[in-house]
Amino acid sequence: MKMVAPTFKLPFSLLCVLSIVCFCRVSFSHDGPEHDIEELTAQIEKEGASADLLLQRAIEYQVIKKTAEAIRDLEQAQQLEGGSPTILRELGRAYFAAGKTNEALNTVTRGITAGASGSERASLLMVRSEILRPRKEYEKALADAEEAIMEHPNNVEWYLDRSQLHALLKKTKERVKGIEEGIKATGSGLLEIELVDALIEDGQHAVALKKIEEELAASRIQSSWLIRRAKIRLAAKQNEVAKTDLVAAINELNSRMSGTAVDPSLFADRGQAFELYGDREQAHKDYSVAKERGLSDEWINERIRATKK
Amino acid sequence: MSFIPGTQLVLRVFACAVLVSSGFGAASQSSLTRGPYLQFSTTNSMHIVWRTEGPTLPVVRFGKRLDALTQRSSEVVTRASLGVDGQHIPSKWVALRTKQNLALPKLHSAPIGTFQYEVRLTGLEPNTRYYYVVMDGEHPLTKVDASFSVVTPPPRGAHQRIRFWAIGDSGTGRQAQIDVYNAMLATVKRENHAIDFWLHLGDMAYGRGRDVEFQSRFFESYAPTLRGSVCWPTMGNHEGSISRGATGIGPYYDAYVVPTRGEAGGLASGTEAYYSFDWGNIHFVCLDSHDLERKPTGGMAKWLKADLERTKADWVIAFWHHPPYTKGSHDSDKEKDLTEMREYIMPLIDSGGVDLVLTGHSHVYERSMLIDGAYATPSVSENVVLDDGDGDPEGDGAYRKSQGIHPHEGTVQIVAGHAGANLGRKGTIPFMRKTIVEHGSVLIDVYGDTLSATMVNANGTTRDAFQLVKRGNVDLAHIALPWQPPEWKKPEHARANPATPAVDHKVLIPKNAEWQFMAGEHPRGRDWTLPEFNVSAWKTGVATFGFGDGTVRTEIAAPRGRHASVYMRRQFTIDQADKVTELGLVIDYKDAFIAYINGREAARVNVGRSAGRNAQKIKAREENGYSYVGLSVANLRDGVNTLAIEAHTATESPLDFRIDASLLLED
Repeated sequence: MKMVAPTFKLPFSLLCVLSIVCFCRVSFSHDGPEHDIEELTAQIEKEGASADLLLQRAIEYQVIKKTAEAIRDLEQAQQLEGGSPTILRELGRAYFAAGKTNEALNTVTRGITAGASGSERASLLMVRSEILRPRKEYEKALADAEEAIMEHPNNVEWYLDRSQLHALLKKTKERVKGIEEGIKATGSGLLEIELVDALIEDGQHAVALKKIEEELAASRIQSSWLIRRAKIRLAAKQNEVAKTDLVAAINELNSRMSGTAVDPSLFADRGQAFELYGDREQAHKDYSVAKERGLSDEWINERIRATKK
Repeated sequence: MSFIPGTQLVLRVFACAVLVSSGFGAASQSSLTRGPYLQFSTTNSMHIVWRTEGPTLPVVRFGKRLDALTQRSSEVVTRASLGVDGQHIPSKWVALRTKQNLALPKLHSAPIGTFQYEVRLTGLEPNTRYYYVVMDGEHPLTKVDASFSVVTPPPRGAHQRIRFWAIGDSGTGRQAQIDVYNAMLATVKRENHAIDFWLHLGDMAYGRGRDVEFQSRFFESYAPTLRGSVCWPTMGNHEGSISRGATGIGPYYDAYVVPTRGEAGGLASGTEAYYSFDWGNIHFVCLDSHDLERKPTGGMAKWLKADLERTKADWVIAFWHHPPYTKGSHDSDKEKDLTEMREYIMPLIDSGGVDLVLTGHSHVYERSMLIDGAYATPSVSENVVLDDGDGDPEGDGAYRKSQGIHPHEGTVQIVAGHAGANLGRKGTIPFMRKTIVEHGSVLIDVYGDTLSATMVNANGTTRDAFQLVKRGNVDLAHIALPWQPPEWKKPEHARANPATPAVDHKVLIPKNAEWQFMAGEHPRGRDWTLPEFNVSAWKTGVATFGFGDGTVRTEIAAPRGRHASVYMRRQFTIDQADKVTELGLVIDYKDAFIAYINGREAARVNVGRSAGRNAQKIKAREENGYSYVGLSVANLRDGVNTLAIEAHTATESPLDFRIDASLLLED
C-alpha cells in the first residue's frame, strides 16, 4: 500500500532565484533584524544593489515595522528584476499593508500576467483575492481563490478563504462542496468545523447535528458546539432547549475570561451566544471588543452592524 | 555515546546483484546519504526516513529482538531529485529520468540522483522497544546494531516518566553546537535516563536552510540521536529563507514527516506547517511563527483554538520559533513577528490552558515566572505574574496549578535559542526569572502531575531548574507588584562575539602558504583579481608578507610617506561549488584587507571605501593574531578558483605591516 503524498512542481526559474538568494550571504547567526539590515546595507554598498539583497533587506524592514523602507527596497528590486513573481508578490503585500490597494492590485496582477506558474501563481492569486475583499469585489476574489486552489490544492487557509467568500456571496451549496473538497485534499480538522457551519447555513441541520453531537462528546471545551447546536434548535423552534445550550455556553465562556486579558475569540463566541439568546446589546458589546482586540473580518463587522440598535 | 565532529553516517554497501526495484527499473548500486532517522510516531506506528544516492528497493525489517527482525515494512513514500528541464543533469542520472520516476514527489533541492524513502512501520505496540535495519531489497544498508532502535510512545493518557530535550538555533556547525549536544548526552548518561524524543525550536540549518545545510548542520551533527528518537520540528526564520509554510515546499518540508491528519492525537491540521501530537499524558502543539498569518482570524489561530478546546491531556506544551517575550539577541517589544505572537497567539494559549511555551530565535536562555495575560507592548510585569518565585523546589518551591487543564492558570515561557549560534542580550523582560547568556539546552521531565525542567549549559552544568506541579485546586491571583529582575545595562565596551570557523572544515590554503604577490606599487584597476589575469610579472613568496613583525617570512620594503600595501593571489580547487555551505579566511593582518574570489569582492575589513591605490578610510586593527572572516561564496565555481587579497596599513610610513591568510571550507 502506498501512502498519498503531494507532488509539487518547482519551476527552474524559482530554483535559480532561490539558489542566488542562498549564495549571497555568509550569515549563520545574527543579533536581530537591525543587525541583518546593517549587514545587508554594507553588502549592498560593497557589491551594489541586487534584487535579492534588496528583497532580503525589505523582509527585515517589515519585521521591525518599517513599511516605507520595505516598499522602497521592493520597488528598487522590482526595477532591477521586473518579472520576479516573488518580488511582485512581496511588493503587492507591502502596498496592501500600507493601505495602497490600487498599487497593490496592479503589482500583483502584473505578477500573475508575467507568466508565474504553479505554487507561485497560486500565491499571487490568493494575495489578489485578499486585496479584493475589502473592496467588496467578492466575485472576483472568489474567482482568484478558485484558480489558486486548482493550481495548489493543499492549502487549508485558502479553502477557508474561499468558504468565507462563498458565505459572503450566500453561495451555500458551493460553500459546502468546496469545503468537502478541501477536507478530501488536506484532511484538515478546521475544515471539518467549517463544514458544520456551512451545513447549518445551507439548512442541512440533521447532518450538522450529527457532527455536533460527536464533537460535544469528544471535546473538553464545549461552548462553540453548544452555540452551533442552539442555532439548529432555534431554527427548529426548540427555544427552551436552545436557551439551555446558550446559557451553558455563556457560563463556560465566562469561566475562561480572566480580568482584562481575554482572548478576543471568546468575546466573539459569547457575542454570538448573546445574540442567539436575544440580548443584542450585550452581543454588540462583545463583538465590538473582539474587533478592537484584533479579531476583525467581514463576519464580525456584519454581526456588529446586525446587533446595532 | 559521544559526538564525533565530522562523523557522517555513510555506509557504502554496494549491491552486487542487479535489482529491479518496484517502479524504478534501474540497477541498484546504492549508498546511504542521509539517515536513517526517525520521524513522527504514534502508539502503534513509526516513520523511518533515509536517503540514498540512486534508487533502491526500500525495506525496513524490524522486531522486538535484535536477533529476530522478522517484521517488514509495507508502506513507503518515495521522493526523488532528478532535476528539472533546463538544468544540467549528470550523465549517470540521465537514464533515471523516466516518466515513472519523474512522476514521484520531488525533493526541493537535494543533489540530483537523491532518492528519499519515508517508510511507515505499523502494527507496533505502545511503549515497546523495536530494533530495525534499513535494507535495499535483501541487502542491509545499516548495521544490525542496538543503536538502531526506538521505543514507541506510551498509551495516550498514561502516567509514565517522560523525558524530552528542547533545543533552538543550533545549526551553525560551530564548536558551541557540538558542546551543547555533548553536554546533553553526558547528562542523560550520568543520570541514566535517556530522552524519549526531542523538540527542535527552529534554526537548525544556518544560514538559509538549504538542503546541504540541513545535511551538515543537522542530520550529520545529530545522527546518533536521530536514529533512536523522534525529532519534532518547528520552522525557524533561517529555514524559512527558502521553505514556505503556505505551500509546504522547501528543504525543511523535505526533511520532516509530521502528522497532518491527527494521526498522533489532536485536531488534524491539514498542513505540515503546524500540527499537534500526544505523548503519554502530554499534548504538544507546534506552530509556524515564521511565515503564516498570526492573527486570530487566520487559519493557524483558529486551528490552535479548536485543538486546545478538544484536548483532554493532563499537560499542554506549545512550541514555535519566535518568542513572544525576549530581550536576548531579539527584542519582542520591537519586532513585529514576536509582538504578533504575543498579542494574537498568547491569548489563545492562556485561555486554552497551556502550561509551558518553548521558543527559540533569540540567542539566549530566558525563563519566566508563572505568568498570564501578558499581552502589553512593551512588556510589563504588574498584574501578569501569578507566582513570582523561582520555581525551584530547592529554592522558593515549585509553581503550582490546579489538576487538569484550566484557563489562565499561567504558563512558564522558555526561550532556548542558545544551542549553537552567537549569543546576545538587549535587556531584561520584567517577568523573566532567569536570563542566562550561555550556550545550552533544556531537558524536561514529566511524571504524573509534576513537570521538571533543567537548563544544562555547554559545560554540562545545570544553570536553571524549576518545577511545575498540577495538583488539587489552586487559587491563583495576579500579583500587582511582583518580584523584578535586577536592571541590566549593556556593558559599555562589550565586544561582539568573535566569529569562528565551522568545526568540520577542510583547509584549502594553509597558513604560511606560497602566494604570488606584488608590493611597493599598485596594480591598475581590478583586473588583477580575475582568474585569467597574467601574473607572470609578479613575485612568488611565502606568507606572512610585511615588515617590522616577528612573524614575517617574506620581507617587503617599508614605504616612506605612503601606506604600505601588498597584493597577493593564489588558486584553489572546489569540486562542487553549489554544495559549499561556507568559506572563510583565518587571517592575520595589519591593518585592513579586501578579499576577492574570481574577481568579485567577497570580504572587506577596515577599508571604508574604494580599493587598491584609491583605498580610503582605512581603520587601524586593534587586535593581534589570526581571526576568522566569512567569505561570500556567490562567485565560486567548480574546478579552479582564484583568491586575491589586497592588504593596507592605516597609517603612512608605518613601523610594521603584515598579512597572512588561510582559506577554509566547511566540510
